[in-house]
Amino acid sequence: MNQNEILMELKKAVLEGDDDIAQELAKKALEQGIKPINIINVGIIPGIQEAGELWKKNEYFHTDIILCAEAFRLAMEVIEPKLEAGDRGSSGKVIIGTVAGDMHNLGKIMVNATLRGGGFEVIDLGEDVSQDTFIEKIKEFNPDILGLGCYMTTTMLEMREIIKRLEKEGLRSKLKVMIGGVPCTQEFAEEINADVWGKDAFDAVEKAKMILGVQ
Amino acid sequence: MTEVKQDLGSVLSSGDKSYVNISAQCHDHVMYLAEAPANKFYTDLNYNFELGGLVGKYYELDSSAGGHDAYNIEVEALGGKLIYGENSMPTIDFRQPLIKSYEDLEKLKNKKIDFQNAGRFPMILNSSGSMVGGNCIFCSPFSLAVGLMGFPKLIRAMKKDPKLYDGVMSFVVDDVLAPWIRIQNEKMGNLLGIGADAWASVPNLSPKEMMDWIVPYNQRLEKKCKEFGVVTMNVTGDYCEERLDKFDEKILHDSFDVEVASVGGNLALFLAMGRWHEYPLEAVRNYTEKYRKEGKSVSITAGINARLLRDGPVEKIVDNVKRFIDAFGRDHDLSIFLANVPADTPSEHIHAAVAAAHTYGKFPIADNLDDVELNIPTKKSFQEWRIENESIVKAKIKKEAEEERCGLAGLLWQQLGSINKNEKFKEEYADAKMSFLYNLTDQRYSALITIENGTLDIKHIENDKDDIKNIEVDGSIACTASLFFDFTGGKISKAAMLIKMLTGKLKVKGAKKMQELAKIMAL
Repeated sequence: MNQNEILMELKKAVLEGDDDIAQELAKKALEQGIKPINIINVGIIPGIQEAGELWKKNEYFHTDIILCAEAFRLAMEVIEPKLEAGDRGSSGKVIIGTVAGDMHNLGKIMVNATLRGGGFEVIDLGEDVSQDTFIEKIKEFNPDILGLGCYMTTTMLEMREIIKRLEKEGLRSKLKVMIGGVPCTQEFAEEINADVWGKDAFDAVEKAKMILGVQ
Repeated sequence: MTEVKQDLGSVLSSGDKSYVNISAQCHDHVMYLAEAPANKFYTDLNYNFELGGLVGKYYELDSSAGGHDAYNIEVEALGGKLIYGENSMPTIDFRQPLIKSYEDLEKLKNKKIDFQNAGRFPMILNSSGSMVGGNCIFCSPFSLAVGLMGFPKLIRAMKKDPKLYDGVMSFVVDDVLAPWIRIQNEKMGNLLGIGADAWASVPNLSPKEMMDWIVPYNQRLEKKCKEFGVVTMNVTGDYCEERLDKFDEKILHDSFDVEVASVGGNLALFLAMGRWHEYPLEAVRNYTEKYRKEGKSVSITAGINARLLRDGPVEKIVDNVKRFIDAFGRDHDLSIFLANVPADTPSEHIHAAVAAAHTYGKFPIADNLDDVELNIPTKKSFQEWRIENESIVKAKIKKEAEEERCGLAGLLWQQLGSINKNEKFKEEYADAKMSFLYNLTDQRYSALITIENGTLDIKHIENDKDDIKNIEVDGSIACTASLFFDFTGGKISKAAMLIKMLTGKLKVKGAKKMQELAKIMAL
């Protein structure tokens, strides 16, 4: 395979959620001397972008997206350490996590992939994340966006408390807050003083770009 | 004989049949409203049931408002780790799934499951049947497999390692759910099994994926449970598309096919978590049209979107209830369902939904609902109401629990109890005195129906008691539960029924009087 063929196959592997193949092709692309940023921009990101298009057309469901996200993650795992400093997170930096008491991570896995595909640097704090951890990591990494996820109607109330805590700590004005998860709405986002609600993983990346004014 | 309904709408709503019933899935809201500690609410079913009953009466819902975390019980009993939040429902720790490999599956298969004592199994088994609505409650095969593996890993197995997927799903059905449902049936006499399956929905999976990869296991469970007399129904295939621009009637119809295939082929549609206040309801009517033309009754349990219910406004909630009734109330067996009510939902929103269901849903449904005047009563806060009513309502709930009807008696009572409010029945049977016995020979309980002085009553009788042999009744049927559901559900031909009678598998006494009972049931 020539370089172009490798990148096309890589895109296909990401799109079709062939995670092992995607990782192998990412390694092969590096071995062939393709610039890491080109591997991402030509081979990996177009795969997840096309998945987004198929999602919008009802041709892809979460089953497809989750495999696509995993293939994306494994390919990126190979390429990211080789990136030059200026190539990382050109759209902005996002800290995401599922709030305390909530272990659901399906949406977050997909949002992680789509945000990274959209050029964001993503720091994923995991699930059941305490207020203290969010605050500590925000102070440490200075993100542009804080992404909060939840799945239950009881844990969604924790989002309000986190935002209050951001205000108390003087951090609220320094970042945007995006929320997501089954029970959330834009009305709820406004009610708790979040900036925006992402209705699904692809909407989340569009909204993230919108609130930061990224093209 | 009149069909004993086995659809979800009938199961969820057991109130006054003179209007469209409204029920709610609102355990989080009950906990929040009653300021109950989560660790007690989700571990003490008596406490949970009492508060659920109280909140149900406050809102004048047609069923109790309690409930527990149905997705966690089996996983916890198998050794899975749960996170118990201070103010939230317990949740599975998906970071530490029980099954990551074939080896883990083998280990679990070799583990002896103590269905009497593991995890919170005793909490369910020691409850009275009425606390779980007279049903065996379980987590459906696919959602349980998600609880054991996590969604991404289960999907990966489905797509890339079908042997592992089948291994997990078979284990879930054969080694966990069927025996667990059987134990519930033996202990409490419950005859219907309701499986929660929110993971198996659109857009998590396509309808084709559900039909190919999930429905066969639902049906396998159904077949296994039927052997010991329990009818299982899995709430699989809910259409929950979030983006209105992606609404697709073909996908909706395909997901309805999944729903029907997962509830034993009953025409019971469940519109639960989707944006039903925005989807076109005509799309549902288009699906049911062929059945209506054939004269078949289609049950629709129509869900008020959880976020609409929380965010309001009241007018939009009322309009949505009205819209459902206008679309389905006249020619479908409709009930309204408040789906997964958010914890902090304002009470006035729920009061409005109930008032709308009971006013617009008054039978016969008005030709033009705009002509119906709706008055939404101003209610006291729950806290104020509770101070004044708690002791009375609790006494009433206690009395109802003491009068609990187990097994078939409970099921029949849910569907027939309200006949005592039917004027025609009261008048026609004012001087009647008759009794009937439904003897389910393979079950713990049989049902004794009595009609006297214009009042119908149904009681359960333990089958292993001597007195069942000596009961004198005007009519009786004796057969297994499975056969009973088959012929009341019209799933067995007259010829086959005759053969069953000739071979002694179905015994009918007082056939003429039994016809009288069928007449009463049809009222």
